[in-house]
Amino acid sequence: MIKNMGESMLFARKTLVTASIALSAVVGALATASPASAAISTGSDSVGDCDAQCLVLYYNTGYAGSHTTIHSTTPNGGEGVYDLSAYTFQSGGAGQGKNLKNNAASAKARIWGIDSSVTVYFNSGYAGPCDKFQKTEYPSAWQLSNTYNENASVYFRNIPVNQGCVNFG
Amino acid sequence: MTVGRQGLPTGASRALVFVAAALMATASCSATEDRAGGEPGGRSVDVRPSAVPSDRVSLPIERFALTAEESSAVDRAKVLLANECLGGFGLDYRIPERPPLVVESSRRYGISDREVARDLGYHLLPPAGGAGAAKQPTEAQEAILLGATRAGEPQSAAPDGRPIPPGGCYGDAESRLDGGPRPEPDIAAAAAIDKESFKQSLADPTVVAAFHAWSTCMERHGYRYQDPMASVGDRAFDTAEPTEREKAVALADIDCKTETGLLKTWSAVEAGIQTRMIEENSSALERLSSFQKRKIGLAREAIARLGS
Repeated sequence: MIKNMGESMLFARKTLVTASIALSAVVGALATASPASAAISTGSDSVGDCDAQCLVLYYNTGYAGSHTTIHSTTPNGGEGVYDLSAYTFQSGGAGQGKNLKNNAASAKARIWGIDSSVTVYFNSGYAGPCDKFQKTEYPSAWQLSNTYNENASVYFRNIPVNQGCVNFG
Repeated sequence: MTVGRQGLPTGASRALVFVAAALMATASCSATEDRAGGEPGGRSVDVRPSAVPSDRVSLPIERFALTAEESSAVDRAKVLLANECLGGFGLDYRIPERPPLVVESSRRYGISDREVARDLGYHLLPPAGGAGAAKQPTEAQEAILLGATRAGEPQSAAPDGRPIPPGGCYGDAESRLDGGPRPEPDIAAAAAIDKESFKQSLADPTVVAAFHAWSTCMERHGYRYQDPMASVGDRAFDTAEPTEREKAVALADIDCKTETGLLKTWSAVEAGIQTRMIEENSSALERLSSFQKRKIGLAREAIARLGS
């Protein structure tokens, strides 16, 4: 499986990301991160700067406007953000400071594992219609379809799971 | 029942279906037997009694989507084609055979699996198995596999000068299975139906009345929620491990769904909404259907040619 970078590299990246987040005044968002999402962090960097896996949510279509990057660094475990209302759009641009929940129009993801995926759900608690992203080209890029402006929670998985997201091909 | 570090709780593992490569449409599977506590009988690929309650109406848009088995076949074909491509570059790395597909219960209408609710409340099933042991490609191999370096620089040529297809061997496998341009507007039309029908159903008077009945039932159990999307989304349940209260709420949630017939009412209303939307989008969905048929056919051809 081609899932992740080397562990030491991963650690180094994680340290860097943590440092940059500490400097960029999003400590509030981190403080509200739940225990279930211990290895989830957010930032305003771009998809090219993300850890092992990340999802970038954009305020506007076409990957425009303010964005927030959600990093997932647990190599083998499922983890996610139960309710995106704890977060805001962080980078400069249209929508900066607005709530991340139900306001994203487009998304990019970086997922290295063939069997890995990130799912965006209509409802908090990983429920309702969903968009499942499972591609490995770089940069992986999608318009949100099933969850356009209805993004309430996200979940990263590192095993192939069919959890009821409709796959239209 | 406790959730062990190594394994899943018994109830939850019984509730899993491991689709063994999922190649034969009619194959049934008994891979869960050793963890199933002696429950007799195999299960079919994408039907799971506790996952898809018999009282839930199937949704018409699913006719224009890949089944779990078809998705799994496409994914396997992708790996086989990518591996063939890697061989063409003279690499000895191969993507490992996919682990069996895990089918979780749909949470479209909130939770619906009583066994999972009992053991895990609203939590998702923990990841099964360790994926870390699989052989990793080197950085050079990965660049050819994905058409990009780890730093994200697109890579268009191998060290020996041979051109790498866009997206690397894996991207190439996807394009070959697509068999031509992807009908993105048609996919978007289907995805819009999947979302909009759900959204409209939430405001439908019949569904709202059913929510009310469910809510009244929940109140009798001592819990106050307006509808089952509010309970599944309760941030009090965003904890590392499910609490006893969460499990109790989840069980009441399921039992009230059963008592009020909520899933049947709700899915029937949504099915009606979808039927109307499908009629309005029939030509897009027909194009989508042909694309999917071709893709599944190409996947099965690749499996027949390369699968062992």
